[in-house]
Amino acid sequence: MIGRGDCVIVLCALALVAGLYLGLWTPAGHGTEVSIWVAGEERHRLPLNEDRLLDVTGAIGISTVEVRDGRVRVLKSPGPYQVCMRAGWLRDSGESAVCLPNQVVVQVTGPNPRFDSINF
Amino acid sequence: MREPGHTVVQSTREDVRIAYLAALAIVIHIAETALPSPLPGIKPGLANIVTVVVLCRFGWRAAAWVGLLRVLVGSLLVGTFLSPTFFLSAAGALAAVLALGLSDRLPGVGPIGHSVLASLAHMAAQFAVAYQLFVPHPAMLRLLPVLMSAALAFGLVNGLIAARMSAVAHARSTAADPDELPTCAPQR
Repeated sequence: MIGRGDCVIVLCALALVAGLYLGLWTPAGHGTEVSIWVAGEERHRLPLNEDRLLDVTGAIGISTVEVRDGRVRVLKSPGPYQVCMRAGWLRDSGESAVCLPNQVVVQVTGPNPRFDSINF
Repeated sequence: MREPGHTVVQSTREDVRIAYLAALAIVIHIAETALPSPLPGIKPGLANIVTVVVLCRFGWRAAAWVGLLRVLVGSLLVGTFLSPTFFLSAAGALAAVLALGLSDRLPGVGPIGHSVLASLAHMAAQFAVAYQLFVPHPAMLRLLPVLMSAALAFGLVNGLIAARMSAVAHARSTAADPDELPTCAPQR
């Protein structure tokens, strides 16, 4: 009832499904660097293993970025809703905080980002 | 006397056969919509058993007709025609029919291989359409392994049922007519 071709197809299918679990269910690696963009231009690139505070001048004021213990967050920003501060601590590569009014983007980068790009 | 310029559409034996088989698939398809589903996108796809048996006994052309007619008429009867569900379903059925065209050309493939390949193609196409058109969010990708596992499991079960059915159908028709052409069922 089961031919050789059937066996090949079923084995390939099993391998495909296993590959999907491995590829899509592995957690993202921790990032190694943070890149900070202002108005679409990369202004700074900092290693995550050096603690520091950085003031970034954006469109409407200064956003303060804090790097500590391999994580990064936006500490202060002039936007009215404080969206980028609510993003909290960022650690995994691909994570980002966006201060839209100030046109500042903070993004963690690393060797294996979880996503190449995100569209909404 | 027939007027010139008029053509009379004659239905062939094959047309009638496809209509019968598609009707069978449509009934199963509609019965299945009554089954609850744990996750959107996961269902047994029992109507595809008919498509696979048709492929084995009457070839790819008939199977393509049955598979595509089922989605069209099924959606008209259930009331989902041209709704998002319909596009998902149509993309899946189209991919499954193309996959059957491929597996039909591969050597040593019987109902189980056909069913598994078509099932995976169906789910993959459905997912691609859902991802592109409806929910283009990366979190959707986390669902893909689960959906494909379900597709594999149901593809296997449907394939086993289809293998059994086409073996029985083959045995019956060879008993009636020893010159009946062999089906795609048992090849090694």
